[in-house]
This record gives sequence, structure tokens and C-alpha cells, in this order.
Amino acid sequence: MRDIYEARVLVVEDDPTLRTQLLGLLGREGYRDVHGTGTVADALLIASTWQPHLYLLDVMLPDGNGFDLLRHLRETSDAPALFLSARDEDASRLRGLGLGADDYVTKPFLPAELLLRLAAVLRRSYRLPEVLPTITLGKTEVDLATGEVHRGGNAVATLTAKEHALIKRLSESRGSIVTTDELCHSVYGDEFGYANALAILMRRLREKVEDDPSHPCWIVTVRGLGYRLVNEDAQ
Amino acid sequence: MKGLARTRMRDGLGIIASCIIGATVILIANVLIVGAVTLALSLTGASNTGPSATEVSQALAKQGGTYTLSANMVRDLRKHNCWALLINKDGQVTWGLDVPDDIPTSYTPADIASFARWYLNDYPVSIWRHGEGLVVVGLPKNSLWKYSFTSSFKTLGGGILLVVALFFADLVVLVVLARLFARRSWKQRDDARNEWVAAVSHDVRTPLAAVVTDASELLESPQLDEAERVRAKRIVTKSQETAALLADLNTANRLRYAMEPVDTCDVHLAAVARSVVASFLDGGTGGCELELAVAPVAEGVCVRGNEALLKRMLSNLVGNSIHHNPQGCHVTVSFDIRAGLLGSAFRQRCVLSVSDDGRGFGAESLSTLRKKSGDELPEHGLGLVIVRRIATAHGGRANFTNNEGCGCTCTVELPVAVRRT
Repeated sequence: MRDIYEARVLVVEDDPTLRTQLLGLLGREGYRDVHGTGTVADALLIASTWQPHLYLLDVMLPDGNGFDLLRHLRETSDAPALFLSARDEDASRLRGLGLGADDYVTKPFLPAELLLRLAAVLRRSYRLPEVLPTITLGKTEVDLATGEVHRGGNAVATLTAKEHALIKRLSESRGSIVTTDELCHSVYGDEFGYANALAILMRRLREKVEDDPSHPCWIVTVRGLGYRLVNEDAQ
Repeated sequence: MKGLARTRMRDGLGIIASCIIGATVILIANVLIVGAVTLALSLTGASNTGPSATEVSQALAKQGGTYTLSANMVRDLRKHNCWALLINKDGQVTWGLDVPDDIPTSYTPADIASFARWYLNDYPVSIWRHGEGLVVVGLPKNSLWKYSFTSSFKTLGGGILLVVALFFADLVVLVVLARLFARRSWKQRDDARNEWVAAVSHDVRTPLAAVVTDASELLESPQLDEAERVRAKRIVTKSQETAALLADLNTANRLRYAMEPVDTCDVHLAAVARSVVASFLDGGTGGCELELAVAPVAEGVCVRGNEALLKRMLSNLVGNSIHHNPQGCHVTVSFDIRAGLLGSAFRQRCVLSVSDDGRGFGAESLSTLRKKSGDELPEHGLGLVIVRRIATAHGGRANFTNNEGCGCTCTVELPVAVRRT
């Protein structure tokens, strides 16, 4: 598999409307090989002949539940599974079962969120390279793939690993506040004891990406909460 | 789950009280029944086995050299198939009425001693003194059971004590059994209710997912004009609100019925507060200004609990202020630490409060919110009831008050688990 869109995705959802919507959604996103079914029996049959790369499973099905289905599937396949859960208890049940399900999304979900999770699971499971975007901050561009900061077509700076992690996390939630706790967790792996280190790191990052680091207009501070990477159209 | 524990304890004490009262009532009723039956038998004469030796002795008179028994007594003895005889001082039978053939005609003192209280040749007998000797009245065989009971006072006292002890032991067994049955029925009731709510939640969420998926895709459509886009956005938002409401209902139900918070860990409350406030600022606060004030001393303080539940608790509080003040107001979320006993770290508490200068609570909703947690869910304002239940489930408490000027303050106190730096 060269990219995630080559993955064979099996959607097991008993509600025909939602199933059709999911198949359409995946098709429009670019997934070329997508199948749908509404029962455990059909899913097992399709899985044995078609060998999907990823299962998108509803928890409650007319002839069984998604957890048991995954247990059966695991006997012959290591393909990752993403659950569509409609019950709050499913999350803890899933962990308790130790099935090794790769993720779950609670209904109702935003299509964009589902697609992101799906792509992440596929990349993680099949070790596909993440397509890192280039972040545009006015005249400055940050190429996350190379870690270079370009201004007017010239590379003016290179990001360190921590700076890269920081701007990547901010760009994932561009336009929204990312709390200092979340940033510390993403960059340092722990949210305690890194507040000062984060402030220093932020200063360095701003020096590389902002025109005036003392008066930042792209990575703005939200006092007492965290930082926000401002959307382009907001400028 | 202190609230639940209180309810269960109340129910448990109720069971114990009803068992004790029930057992006592049954005991008294049994004694009364036995007394009544005995009285009835004696009144109707059903237990009358015939004239006693005393009566026969009094009715037996010696006239000249012969003995005569009154006609009434003879009739009475015969009516009950009894016989009677008189043994003189030499041990010889000197008079008899209907005496069976297998009854001896002479007796030694030893013979008399051996049958006096029991049976004479298997005939139950009773004896009484007479001027000429000893009157013996015999009843038909197998008509009377006689048993001599002899006991020392010590044994008798012990026996009575044993009966009393057994009564209380039985009572304890009764209480334990009743509690076991009650527990099972509580569990069945809880399970059924949880299952029902979860099933309804599931059934509603699937069509909601279909609605959100369609509306979200519509939002992306380039053919939509701005007004249509706003409407599509509203469909998404309202569907998500419905889903959140379902989640609230589920949580309230789980916390009410036998559910401890699951997946507990040390939750960094300041981070939770920042995350909740940030998501409100991102998602829109209506016309409200939202401010967060975390005291420096509260940084790094963790409570033991479920992060998702604690986030929902704070979201409900902030959401309540925003939702009920569409005209706009100032909402302040503050997080501080209240010193423990005598200023020490022992029993330190996290104090999370959300206060606004808006409309405040109505008198009715305030009284609903202050009811004990065992009560049923209110028709409206589920969000704040959940706040109280989540706080209780985490060993804390929630307090709702109206401010003096305007607006209201909701305060949640939770026990500090650990402080991390």
C-alpha cells in the first residue's frame, strides 16, 4: 500500500442510511475500495474473501456486536479496526476487553473527525508516511515536511524537533486555542513542570516565524489559557 | 457515591426495622393463636378425656360394706370409655367399674409407684387418695400421651436463654436473607434502567449521526449561500447538543444507580478548567464574556476521578450561565484551594466556582437543586443536577447560590488527591 487511499475499507453498520452516507463519504474522500454490510455474518464472509485493510465497525449489530465480530476477525486478520460507538459505556468496555481496537468515534461524529481518525489509524498501522502540510503565515511558509521556514521563496530558518512539534500541534487545531497543558503534553510528553520551558520555546519559534516576535500576529497568546495559531483569513 | 450509599443505607435500615417488627408481630400472633386454640378446645370440651381420679374419688361413697359411685359419674366414665378401681391399704382391689381383664387385682407399693404417674398395662391412668385407699381411673389405651419433664433450674434458665438467643439468631438470618433479596432486586432494577437508557441513547444517536453527516457535508457544499450555510451549521450544532443531552441523561442515570466513576486517574483540575474555558471561547459564548482565574496555589493540584466527567461537570456549569443569559453577562471561572484542617494539607479541598452577573436562579430551580441527591431527576435543568452528582461521585459537593446583587455562583468542592509540580 503506497497511500491510505489504496486501503480496502469494510464498513459494518446496520443502519442503511448511515452506511450509505459513510460509503459516500469515504468515496468522496478518495478511498477507492470501500465495501459496506450490515450484519456480522456478511462481514465475516466478506472479510474472509476480500481481506480488508481496515474495519469500520458499529458496536451494535442485528446478529451480534462489533466486539465479538472483531474477536472473530482477529483470528485471521491483523487489520486495524475503528469503532463507531453509540453508547458512552462502549469506550470503557472497549478498553476492558483488550481487543486491541485502534480507535473509536462516538456517534454522532463530524465527518471530518472520522476521516482524520481513519487516516491516522491507517498511517499508524501500515507505517505510511504522514503527509505533512506547509503552513502559511502571511509571507512566511513553514514546511512541516522539511522543518524549514521560507520567506519570499528562501529558507530563512530550520525548526528544531521541539519547535516542529509545537507548531505542528498548533496547526492541527488552527484557529482554536490550544492550552499550555496540551502543548506541554505534545512537546514534552508531560504537562507538569514545563511551563517555563514552553514559554522559552515559544519565544524561539516566534523568532523564526513571526515578523515581529515581540508583537506576534500569527501565534497569539490567550492569557491564562494557551496559544492560538491564527487562521489566514482572520488576518 | 455517597448519595447512593445514603439511599441504600436508608433502605437497609428500613429492611432491618421491618424484619424486627415483622418477626415480633409473627411471634405475638403465634402465641395468641396457640392460646386461643387451647382456650377454644377447653371450652368446647374437645380436649376433655373424661373425669379425673379426684372427681371419681369424691363421687365414690362407702355404704355399709359396699361402694357406690354416683350415677352421673358412672355415665360420665362410660361415655369416655374409662374404667375405675379402688385399691385398699393392703393393695387389694376392693371395688371396680368396667375394669379390663388384663388389669391385676392386687398391687405392691412398688407396682403402685411405677404406674402412679404413667400407664397401667398401657392404659393411661390417674390416681387420687380415697378414705379407703387409692382410686385409679384408667383411660382407653392410646388415648393420652404422658411424659414427665424434670429439669434443674439451671438447665431450665439456660433453655429459656437458648430460646431467646435462637429467636434473635433467626431474626439476624431473616434480615440477612431479606437484604440479599433486596440487593438482588436493586441490582436488577438498576441494570434494567441503565440498559433502557443506554438503548434509547443508542437508538437516537445513530439517526443523529446520519443527520450530522449530511448537514456537515452540506456545509462544505459550494452551492450553498450564506443563509443556507447558517441553517446547515445550526442543524449540526443542535444535533450535537441533542447528543450531549443524551450523554448527560446517561451520566445522570449511571451516577444515580450504583455506578462509581470508571477509569479514574489523577486529574489535573487547572488543565481541565483551561480546556473547558478554551473550548467555550472557541465555540462561542453568546454575548457572554468568559474569564478564568486559577490561583497559583491551585496549579498542579490533581483530584482522583474521571477526567471526562469532571470536564462535563465544568462544561455544564459554564454552559448553564451562558445558556440562561442570552442578553449577555460576565462569567468567571475560578479555581482555588481551601486550606485543610487547622491550615494543614490534611483534608485540603479544590474549590471550583463559576459565577455570573446574569439572571440568577429562580426560586423553584434553586430548591430543586438543593434537594438530596437520592431524589428523582427534575423535568428541566438536568445539567446542574449532573454537576451535583458528579461532585458527589468524586467525594465532593456542589453548592448553588444566588449572588446578592445579581447572578449566581455555583461552587464545587473536591478533595485534593495529589499536587504535582
